[in-house]
Amino acid sequence: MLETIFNIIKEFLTQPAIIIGLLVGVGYALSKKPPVKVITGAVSAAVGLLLVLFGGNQFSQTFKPIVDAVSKEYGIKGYLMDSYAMKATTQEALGNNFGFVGYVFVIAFFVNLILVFFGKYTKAKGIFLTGNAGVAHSQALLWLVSYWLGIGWVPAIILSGILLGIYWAFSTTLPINAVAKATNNAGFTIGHNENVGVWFFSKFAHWFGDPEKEDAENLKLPGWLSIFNHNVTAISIIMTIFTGGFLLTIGIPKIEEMSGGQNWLIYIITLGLQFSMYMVILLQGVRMMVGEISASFKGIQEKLIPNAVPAIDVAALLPFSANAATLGFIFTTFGTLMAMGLLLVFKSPIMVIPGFVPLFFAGGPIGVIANRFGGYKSTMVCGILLGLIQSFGSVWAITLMGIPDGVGWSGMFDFSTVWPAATEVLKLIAKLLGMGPYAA
Amino acid sequence: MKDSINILFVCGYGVGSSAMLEAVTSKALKARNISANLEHAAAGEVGGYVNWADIVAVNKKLMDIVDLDSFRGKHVIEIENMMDGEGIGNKIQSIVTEHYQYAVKG
Repeated sequence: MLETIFNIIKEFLTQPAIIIGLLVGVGYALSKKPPVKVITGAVSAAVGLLLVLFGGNQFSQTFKPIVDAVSKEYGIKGYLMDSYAMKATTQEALGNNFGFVGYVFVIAFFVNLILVFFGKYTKAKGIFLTGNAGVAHSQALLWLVSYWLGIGWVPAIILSGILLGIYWAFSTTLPINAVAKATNNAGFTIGHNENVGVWFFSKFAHWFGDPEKEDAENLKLPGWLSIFNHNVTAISIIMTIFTGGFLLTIGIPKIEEMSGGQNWLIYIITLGLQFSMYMVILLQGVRMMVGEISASFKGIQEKLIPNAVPAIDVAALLPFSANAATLGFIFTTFGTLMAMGLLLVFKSPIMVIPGFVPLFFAGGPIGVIANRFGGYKSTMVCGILLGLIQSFGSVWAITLMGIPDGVGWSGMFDFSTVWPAATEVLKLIAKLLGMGPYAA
Repeated sequence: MKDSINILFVCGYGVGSSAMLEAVTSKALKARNISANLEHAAAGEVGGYVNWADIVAVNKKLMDIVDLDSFRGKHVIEIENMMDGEGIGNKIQSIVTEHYQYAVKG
């Protein structure tokens, strides 16, 4: 009898939605919120997580037949580059252990706080406050560490939390000066998926032009481009063009075979609309899950380390030059297309297909930074470079993600450079010590 | 009787910067004794909030797409520095003093 009760409790506590709900509830209780808020917050977070899992799962289910069809035809395997594709891939890989992601997040946040608390010695200043990106990072790190090192869940949670906390502290400290210059000392830094990228491009953006004479804000861009500011529409368009274009390589008759006789054009347009719908579901889930994480983390930071620099979502850079953000988006798309062409020419077995996030949320902000340091010409050059780096870097990251059937990887700058490099180190350790996939 | 105002914060995806904007502004409004309900949303989803919002705060980059016509009669604030809680708080305060006096407490 006692054993049955114990087993039920154990099963209850390992359910991902319940773990996340409890963590959020405990957080509210600790910050002395009224009991009603503790309960509604915990339940919303749990339902939000279920929405995220559902949306991510649907996203994969829709994308996989497309990949399979092209793979069967040419042997080229297609992967999506989008933060939400990385979420879908790692949530599938983690399966029932997904709830542990919450612990990784909490550990990473406190490691970040400690490193900044001792900033006199560590030089770290930035506190990562972006809940939506933080959850994706925690998933990816927990999966990579547990896959490559093959250690138990408890050490994997602790190690990935520490690694992530170190990344959060230093990658947000690097771009502080560049962000201050681009925002006229607005008092924040970037805590997202391209923190190191912002710093990287700020170092040489001035080579390609003059920020005073060639300010992107003096350009008149065609009005219809504003359509890409509307996320629901932009995702539908981008996914229809890129995923549809990828699928078209197998020929119209084969597509109509897949669609069960439906006209091919209607089929690929419907696919684009479906991807956008899954994103709306995912975003609603993320909103319910992390809605107030950012606020409560900001509260903890202000209480413990008032003079730290808050590291916030990269979209905060976009208003500082709306034109440069749009140009950055367009030229990152061009760079990505060039990279896809090169992958095709050199017969790469892996093809990457861009989603909306790396084009808009990496291309846009890098565009703003490049414009501030080197004007609109620099924005164009840096956009193309960013597209190339993110695409080739994603091919590298995909070979290391340890789940060949995953739908894709982030495609954002840091997850195409810093993180695959770190994963190579994990792989080397595994190889030397006979761990994970190298275990005898 | 309505005794608080509704403010909507809008950003590209409605999960990151608008949530932070909401947090930053919430503090400033408390300090000004303004009673408000706050929500955040993505640019593509604002349609669902048209009837709810009294004031809409939008990331400057997205001003052109948030269909401002559908927010006719509402007050729209353009946000450049989203961490400037004081500045945003002052803008909201002047709108509230003029149009929504009932939301000021005490």
